[in-house]
Amino acid sequence: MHTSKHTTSLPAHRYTLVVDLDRCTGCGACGTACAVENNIPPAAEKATERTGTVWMRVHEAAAAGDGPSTFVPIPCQQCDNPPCVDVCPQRAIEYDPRTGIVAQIPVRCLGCRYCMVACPYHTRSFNWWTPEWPEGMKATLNPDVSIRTRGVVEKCNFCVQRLQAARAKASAAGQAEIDPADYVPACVEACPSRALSFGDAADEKGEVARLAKDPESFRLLAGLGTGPKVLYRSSDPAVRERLSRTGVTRG
Amino acid sequence: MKLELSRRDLFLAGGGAVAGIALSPVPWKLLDDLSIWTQQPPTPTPRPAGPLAFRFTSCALCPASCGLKARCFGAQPVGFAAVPGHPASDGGLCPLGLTAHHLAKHPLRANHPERVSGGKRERIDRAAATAALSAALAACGRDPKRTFAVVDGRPGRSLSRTYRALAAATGGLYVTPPAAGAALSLEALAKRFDGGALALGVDFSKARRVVSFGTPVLTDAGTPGLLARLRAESRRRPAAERIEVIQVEATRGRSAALADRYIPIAPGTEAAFALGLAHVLLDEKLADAAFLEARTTGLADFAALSARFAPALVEQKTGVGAGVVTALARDLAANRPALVLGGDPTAGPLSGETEAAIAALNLLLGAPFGALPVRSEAPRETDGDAKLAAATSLDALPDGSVGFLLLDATVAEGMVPWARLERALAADALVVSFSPFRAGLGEKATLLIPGPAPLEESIELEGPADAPFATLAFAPALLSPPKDLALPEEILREAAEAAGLSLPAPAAGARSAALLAARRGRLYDPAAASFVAVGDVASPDALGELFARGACWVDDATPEPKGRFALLKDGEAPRLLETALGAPTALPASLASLPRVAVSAAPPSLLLTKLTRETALFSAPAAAIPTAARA
Repeated sequence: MHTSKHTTSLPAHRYTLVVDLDRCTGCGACGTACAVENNIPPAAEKATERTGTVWMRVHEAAAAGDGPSTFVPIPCQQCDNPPCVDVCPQRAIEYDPRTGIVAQIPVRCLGCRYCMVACPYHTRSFNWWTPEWPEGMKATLNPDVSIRTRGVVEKCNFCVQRLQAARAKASAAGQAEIDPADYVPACVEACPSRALSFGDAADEKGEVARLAKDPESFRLLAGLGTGPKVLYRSSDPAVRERLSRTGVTRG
Repeated sequence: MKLELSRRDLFLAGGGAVAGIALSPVPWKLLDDLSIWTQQPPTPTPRPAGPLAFRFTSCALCPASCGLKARCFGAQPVGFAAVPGHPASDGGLCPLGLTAHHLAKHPLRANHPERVSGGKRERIDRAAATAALSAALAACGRDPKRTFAVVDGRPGRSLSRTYRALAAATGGLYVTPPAAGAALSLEALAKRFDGGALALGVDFSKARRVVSFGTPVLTDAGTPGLLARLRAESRRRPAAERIEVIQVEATRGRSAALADRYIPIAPGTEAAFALGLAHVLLDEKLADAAFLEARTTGLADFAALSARFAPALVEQKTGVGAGVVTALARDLAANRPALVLGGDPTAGPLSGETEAAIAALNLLLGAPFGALPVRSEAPRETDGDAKLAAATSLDALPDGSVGFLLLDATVAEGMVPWARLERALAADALVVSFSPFRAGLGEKATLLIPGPAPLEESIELEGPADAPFATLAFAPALLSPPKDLALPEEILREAAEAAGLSLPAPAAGARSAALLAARRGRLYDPAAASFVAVGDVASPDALGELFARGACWVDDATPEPKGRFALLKDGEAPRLLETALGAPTALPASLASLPRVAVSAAPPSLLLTKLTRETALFSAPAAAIPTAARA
């Protein structure tokens, strides 16, 4: 298990996403649900694959010949040793020692994009354009998430607003801990083939802790030592070997 | 020694100090500490009026009819999630459904009737639209050469009965889209049954091998994600219990890319390949002998036909190695239950002969009543059916015969190609669409009378024709339609009355009454995540309350009927032989881009540009996602 230099001990909670690559069909429901939940605007007119704002990007890792492809959804890997935190001159990225969530604070960001350079997973997006929604569509935005301006970097934060809502609910009920069912990120909720599982890996009896120890689970670019809290699973050893060594990059 | 400091030394010392400090952590620490004071104010998101609430309904955008859990503030939904355990979708939902609440505000949305004249759109009022409809209906009544035809994408609704009544009153035609993809294969198989009308569904959970001749079983077909989930779960079970998908098609589409085995085949040679598999199954005595004996007729004739398709000939015709054909046939026989489906709904149907070969293959594998279970239709009111026009197909529309074509809002261009409809139109025909969008077939209309957008009206939603059992939801509306929006039912009745046509009064609650009277099936209450038997529902009001909460009716298992399937119909062998021995055809043009968009009558939300332009996942559907319209 990885430890983080940002805490003296491991976080009390280690929220972790497990992606079962055997199940993923690359339908894009996760990225769509993410955009709806987090008020990510439709593509700007000049946006491309390299300049768009996408928090959950699904890549197709084609096999050699006519072998089956693997679709690999890649959100922010929520590293325990996140390289982005160290390089940010604005403290716009915070590692939460209680949950292990690496949160982006866009209002502090000055748009230097050092974090995008530092991130080995290419999971951050820079807002090249002022976010725009068609007339009337703003009424459909999620009021729990603020809109980011042009010129800042943004990324997945495990739908931390849902964690805050779950805490508020638990607090109102006089409970110290949240009900795990109350905190599920939008992508996990949306996945039609149930390829995504989410939970607290610190809960040894939980499903996610079990999956994290499963020999079929692996991390992207495991050799870098960033300690991602997004794990991948595949029953195919070739897929595991390839992705844990090389990862999947944009383009 | 005298220390002399020149001005140069002072500059050097000063410069050195500045450089030293700049290279030390001090300024960066200061910047860090100050950064919190330099942050911008957050941009708040407008909060719709009203308390947070979760409401349930169903998605009407494609035939899958998935359950929706809507997160609403007051009357405004701000997000959707799937409904685990929902009988129609069991937790499945696609990107179209996840963004359904954007469509009421889509830039291509039309809120007022529009007439297209001289290539320009002209806004007209409701009275003028009604007058145009009524004049066209009267003209069709006067001139037998100008037929009235209405195309309905979701038959079985109360509005469908109005369409049928109008078609009957004018001597016109009520047209429903043809079955496509897996549903077409099932229909072709069911038509070979001699024990009465039969409807079959697909139960992937009972199959161990799924052979698809182009049907995107792992991506777009049926319940989103279902087969991918079942297959992945089986991969961690013993080898004998694993589900494998074999995709046989000319181009490596998304489903083929995900399949366990992809077999590239020359386009148009599917019948030869299916007969090659049949040849091996019969030659090596691997077919389901008990099923063939008890449930089929014409085995000798079919065996004689398939005997001509030895793997070597199949290799010559299809480009698939003889060894691959033999190995696949043996694999299917060793891993029953196996089922075979054919046709990509977005690329046009397979030929009737190819569907016949696929049906025969299913019979050799004993798929009917197992992985292809028998299902019933959802109960519906039948009073007064004799006075309504019967459903007919597009083939019933002779070229140049239709003077008034009415397109319901549920008709997707991918289901009913515009080119086919256009051929049926007479000169100066009136084409009316109730689509709320200036897109798809709505864009082709000469008179657009926009109806409610998705989620703006309650709608009866039957599940897909290839589901293993019938489902029915009365999906409640989540949004209010614009105030002066003309409802299709109202405007049609006004126009019919003005044209002197009499239509039967709408029978409110008749479908619910039929459901209660049938006393079949169960109702899934998504709020309580539990089922209640229809027999335990006390009254029509109680049933109405359940449906208003987003409940979904699901049928009981249907008993297996008596009867036999014909492996070959009369006179079919020569046509099948001719098709199977024919030359490969050109590659079919596929409309597929975003998942399910070809079978949806609504344009996709602008947010789906995330999938078409900001990632490489899908190509953009032609003209479906506007960019200029955003301004």
